[in-house]
Amino acid sequence: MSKNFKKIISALKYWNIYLKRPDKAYGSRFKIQKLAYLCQSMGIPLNYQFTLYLSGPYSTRLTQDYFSAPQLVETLETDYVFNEKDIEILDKINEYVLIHPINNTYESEFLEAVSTIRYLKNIYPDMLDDELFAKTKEIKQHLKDSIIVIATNAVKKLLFKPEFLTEEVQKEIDIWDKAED
Amino acid sequence: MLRFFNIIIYFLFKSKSFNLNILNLDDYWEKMNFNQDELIKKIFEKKNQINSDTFTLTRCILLALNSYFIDGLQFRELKTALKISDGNLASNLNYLIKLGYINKNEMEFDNKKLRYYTITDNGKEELKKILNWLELIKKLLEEVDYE
Repeated sequence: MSKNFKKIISALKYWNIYLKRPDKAYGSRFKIQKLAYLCQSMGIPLNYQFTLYLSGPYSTRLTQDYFSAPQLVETLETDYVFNEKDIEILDKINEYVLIHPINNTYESEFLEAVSTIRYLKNIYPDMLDDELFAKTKEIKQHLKDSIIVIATNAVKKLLFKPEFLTEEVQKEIDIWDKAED
Repeated sequence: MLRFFNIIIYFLFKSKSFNLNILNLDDYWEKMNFNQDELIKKIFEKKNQINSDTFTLTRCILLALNSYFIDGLQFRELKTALKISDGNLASNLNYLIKLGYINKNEMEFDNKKLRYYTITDNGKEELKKILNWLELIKKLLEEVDYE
């Protein structure tokens, strides 16, 4: 088993996410892909190459990994231990994505929207919210507008660092929070 | 370019100044054309091994995409990417299913039923035949500086 995949198993275990075997369940494969991308984009070194278009973020290498050891996704057996910095990232993903109330109803779509927007933010860091919305809508037409807006907010929270919190930023966050309600 | 070079060599050797009888020039010419003839022959032979019903732009793309995304692709993802109508996509997918190249699967996703498609071994085999055939054409055209 690759070290990268060990980290993913360890992350699932940390979040208490129990999925069905990915070789038998499309939903499991979908979630692993999106969560792995979020971990990697936030700074956990996984060394997978992800593509965005069509079913992205998606990595063929990751697919090979979970097809070669699908049982591990069910048993969550791993000896990999995350460092403190990685734990912080996992906590952030948990707080802003996994336990978000929208996850109860639109888990997959929300995960898809968050990972897509995070990917776009990575390529176009200066892209404005309106452009980000339009681009996301263009490549993921099935995603609801409201989910894209909420996901954009979640990505902002994921990327947020305490030193960014100026008065102006706080005002914008308040506006987004109201929109989310 | 190569053909042009061959013609030059042929005429050089045919000219008096190079008539040293070292090479059998007709043999040489025949040998140089042998690969192209073989290629053309192969293109016609291999053509018959491809299922012509699969060889449309949409169906080839569907096979290629499903071959890359081995996890499977949702109907809505394919529709967005191909920018074709539901009916057009469905009829092409159904045809590939009928031929045994694609599998249709259903799953529950956010309390909704969603369709997704995966490639079969027969589908992979058919795609391989198409790619090998295109490779032969590519090889043939490489000989003529085709632009």
